[in-house]
Amino acid sequence: MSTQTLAPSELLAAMAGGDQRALDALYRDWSRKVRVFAHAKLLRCGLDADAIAGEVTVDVFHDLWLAPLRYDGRVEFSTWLLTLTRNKTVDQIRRHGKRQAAEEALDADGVLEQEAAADLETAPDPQALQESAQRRAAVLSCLRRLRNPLQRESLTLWALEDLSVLDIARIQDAPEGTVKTRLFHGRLNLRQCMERWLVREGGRHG
Amino acid sequence: MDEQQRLLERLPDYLNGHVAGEDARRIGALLQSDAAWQAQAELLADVRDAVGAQMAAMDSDAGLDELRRRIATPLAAPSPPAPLAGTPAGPRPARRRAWWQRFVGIRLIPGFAPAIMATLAAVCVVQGWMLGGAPDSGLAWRNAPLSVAAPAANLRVRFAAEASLAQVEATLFQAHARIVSGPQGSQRYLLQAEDAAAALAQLRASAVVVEASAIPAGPAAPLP
Repeated sequence: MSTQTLAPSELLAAMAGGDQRALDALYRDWSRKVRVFAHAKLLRCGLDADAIAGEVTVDVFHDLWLAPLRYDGRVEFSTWLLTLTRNKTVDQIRRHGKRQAAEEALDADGVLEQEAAADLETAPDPQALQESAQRRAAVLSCLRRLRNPLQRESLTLWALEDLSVLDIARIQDAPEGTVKTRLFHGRLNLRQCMERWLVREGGRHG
Repeated sequence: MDEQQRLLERLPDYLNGHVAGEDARRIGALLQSDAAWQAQAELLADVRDAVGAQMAAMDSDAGLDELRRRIATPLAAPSPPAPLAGTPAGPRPARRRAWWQRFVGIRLIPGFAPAIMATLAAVCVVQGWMLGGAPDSGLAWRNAPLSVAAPAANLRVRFAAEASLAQVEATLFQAHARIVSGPQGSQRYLLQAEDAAAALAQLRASAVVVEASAIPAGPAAPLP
């Protein structure tokens, strides 16, 4: 059976029949999204985000292998998988005795991300990199340093898989309006962080 | 809520293709004409690019070997099942067992069963040897009856109130009788004598006996 063009639900059905190639295909298709999302969730929790994101990824797919038919198609596979990932990540944070980074009051006035600015000091040397690569690095750095972790999580989910606000709300177990607000204020904070970066880079080159 | 603000909050959905109809037309027009809207869309595009680049930098096979290894060893403790999508239950916290549960959980018995049984057997052997080697004290075990029948009384006697203990003893000695029960009311005693008739005659002759009579044979007299 070729697994190249199969939909997730078909791969899950094949896995239910014990086909490990289907698991491999599903893993190759989805593991990076799972890992990136887990990583974003683990940032600023005081844990080794890289290592634990890898652990969560394996854990998620191991669960899928054990019970592939748990996915019943009521929601999009991506929504379901990322919900599973989120729950596993929260489990890991608690298992390691850490607190999740708490959601802070919304920065209605657009307070600058001071830590992001400090972090950007260690960003890759712009002289040595392409402009787009610099910009991506700056965006990632600003994203990682967002003070509100749920803003970071919402923006990451939005960018990962063309998810709708409703899907993100399902994953985060939050009202749709709350997710809209998180995305909106997340953008504001990100833009201010980026503007600060651009000013500094302009000064460095000017 | 301001209409522009409402539409701005729908921008992420619009960019991901989840807005249709009039809202989609208006957002499209704003993106064409408004520089602030263009900047917002550009920022979201930057986020998408950055996250995409982060994914692209990852090896899609990373962790696959670990996953295969875990599947190949089914005895490895699996993680607890996660809640279904659509029913986004909160994650289950890892429960720490109480100290007594952990203590009970220490499975000593299977591993140490031979040692424990050998120790108990050794204790039995030593105790048996000690009992067998104990010096003979000459004591013999005897069965003891579970109930003791009171001797049957065959005389009833009432001593004088002023009679001394010595006088009573002397009278009983002469009559070859002994007290079975008493004193009952009015200094009455029940006696047992081998020869009831002779004893009765002896008692009646005594100065300290006020009254004496024979008890007809029947069931044993009750204990006091």
